[in-house]
Amino acid sequence: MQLSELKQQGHVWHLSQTPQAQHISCPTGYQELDLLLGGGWPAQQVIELRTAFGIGEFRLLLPYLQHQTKRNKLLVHINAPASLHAPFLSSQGLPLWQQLEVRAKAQDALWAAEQCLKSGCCSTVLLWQQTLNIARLKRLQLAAAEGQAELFLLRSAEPTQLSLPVGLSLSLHADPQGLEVRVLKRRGGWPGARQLVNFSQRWPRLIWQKDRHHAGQAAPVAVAL
Amino acid sequence: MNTLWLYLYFPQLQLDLQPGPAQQEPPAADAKAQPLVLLHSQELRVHQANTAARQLGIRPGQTLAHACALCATLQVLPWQPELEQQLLDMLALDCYQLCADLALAPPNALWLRLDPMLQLYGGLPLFLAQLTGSLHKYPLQFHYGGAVTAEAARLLCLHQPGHIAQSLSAQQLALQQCPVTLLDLAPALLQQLQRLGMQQLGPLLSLPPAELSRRFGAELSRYLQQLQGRLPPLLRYYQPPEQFSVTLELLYQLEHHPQLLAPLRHLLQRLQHYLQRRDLLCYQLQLELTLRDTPALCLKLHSPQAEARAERWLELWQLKLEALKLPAPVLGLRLSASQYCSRDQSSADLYAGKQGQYSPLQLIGLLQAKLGAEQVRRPIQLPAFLPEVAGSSIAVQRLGNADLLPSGLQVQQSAPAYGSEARADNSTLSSSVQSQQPTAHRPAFLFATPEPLQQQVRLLPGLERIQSQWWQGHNEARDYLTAQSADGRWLWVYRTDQQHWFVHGVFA
Repeated sequence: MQLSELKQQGHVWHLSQTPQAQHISCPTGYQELDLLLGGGWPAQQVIELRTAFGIGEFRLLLPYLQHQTKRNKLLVHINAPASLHAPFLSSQGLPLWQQLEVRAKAQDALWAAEQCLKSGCCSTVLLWQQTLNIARLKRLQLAAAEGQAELFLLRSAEPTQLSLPVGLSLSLHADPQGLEVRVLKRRGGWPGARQLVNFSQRWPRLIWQKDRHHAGQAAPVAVAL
Repeated sequence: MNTLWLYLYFPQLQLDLQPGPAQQEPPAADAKAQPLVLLHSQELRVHQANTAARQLGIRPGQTLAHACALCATLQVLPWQPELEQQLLDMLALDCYQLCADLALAPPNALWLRLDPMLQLYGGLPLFLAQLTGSLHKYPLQFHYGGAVTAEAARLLCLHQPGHIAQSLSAQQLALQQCPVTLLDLAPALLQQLQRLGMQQLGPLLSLPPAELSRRFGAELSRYLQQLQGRLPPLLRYYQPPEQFSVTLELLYQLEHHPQLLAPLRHLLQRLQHYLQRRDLLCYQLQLELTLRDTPALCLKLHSPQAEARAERWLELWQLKLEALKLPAPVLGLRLSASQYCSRDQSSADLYAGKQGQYSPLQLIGLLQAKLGAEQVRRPIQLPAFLPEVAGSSIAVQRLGNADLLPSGLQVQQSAPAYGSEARADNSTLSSSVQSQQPTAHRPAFLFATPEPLQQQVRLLPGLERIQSQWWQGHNEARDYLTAQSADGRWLWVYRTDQQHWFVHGVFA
């Protein structure tokens, strides 16, 4: 493969030509994560999160989403694995009128994500989607830049999946103290860095304290059916 | 001051305005090349003929055989009085914008009463300029004639098109030469007059009225009195329709949905015209497709953002029709609108920088049209203890329009007392719940139906018992616990009285 091809596909780029939007970033709300990502979530980009459902990925995004509510725009959840629980959202200060849940088939979901991003009336789109090709991803990226919105693409962490040319790709892993974040790909940075995001301040009821940890292990619940 | 009536006559109404494939192409060149006649289906005589046909010598009233003999490639379409009535209604609606007193003269003419309007327009020539300007939008032939009485205006229009007699004496003079056959009288009476040698109106009017009525009956004398303005005309003034509803009969069959867009665009432009005239927007459209050998198909399209523009509606219809499989070829369309509202009060912020492509309501409408109304939902909160009742989701369509964008973008008090329970619940609730239980430990996601727990989990200390009320069907007590599965997922599980375990939510 030639260098020019690699450049065309976005695998290789010149530092001097990094797009301007790259430098805009929104704070994540976690200091250690801000350090890891060089300031926060890159604005107006597609961000890929490789994660299992339920390990704390939504709570990782929550401070950012709370910050985005000030823009008075919609937050669209496309094909979430379960329905959103309104009491949780309002207790976290996310206004319900800004939330939109969309269910669609895989192809329609991509269409819906593109429309939402392009519309200019959405602050963030969360898309739970397994398969995505590079052409569709590029369209989503253009749409995100056009509508000044962020797209979080949540996918399961299966290693066989095609690596996508996204601006930022993270893999998330459960940890007793919170969430371990590994950088799979970051435009203008090196992959491979990892950082533990500590949830003990924000979510004291959803971590294993040192002593509790043992207590929990001592009394596992086995469920027979 | 004298009254002044204008009679507007459209000799080829259906032929000129007939929607169809020819109208999509540039009409001038195409229509001229093709001789076209409309056939009266009962009498089998030519009813209307276009310019090309006239050049070949075809005239209205000829038999079909005669016309075909004059031109072998003659295109023949049926004359449809209902269609002509619709077109006349459309023109009446247009003229209603210019003139308040308007009466239909079916099948193909209109009466306009001008004298109350002239002061507004500043004289007759200016009014006529406005009128012809608005009619020239259409590829339409029309003649007009004006006189002091309505019936005289009709006669003048037919006899000397373009002549306007503004006083009784001028009218009298202009009608002298008018042939008797144009009078709106029973054919037997006309024949009787002609046999007496009265070919023109002038001699008839000079006869003493008493003698005339004795000889020809009351009908003729009443008619002549109306003609001379001694009796008021018996006309019903036009009232514009309350609801928009237009039918389009296709001259061909459509089998694929993309082909539907062209006729639909035509109907939507009519809708846009209708709405703009009234300064209205509408929320919901209904499209009825007449199918061959199959019951008609009725489609409803709802847009949360009220729209008038044809392009926007067409975009939504395009998405809606993509999902449609036509069971049989389409023969006709009927578009009707419901749920009108006045034009938007809110305006965009000029200084907010770059504006997006859509407003939130337009985006919701777009998603609804493509994915189906039930697929676009919003979480709602209710004052209840059972988690599945306290937080559920509802299709956005079922929320009132006023509820769609509350606090941030609209003024809250302006919401009307629109009997929507969800709203009342929402507002009372969010305050009370937040004050009462500020630290309720709830998951971000809830499964629609609790799933049986099928894996080994570790439980965190802290138990919450939630008991359903006796009126909610089966009474059960659930002990909710936070648990983590072996692969690190945080689950909200509960145990029933019977020691069955379920996963109800996920603390993602």
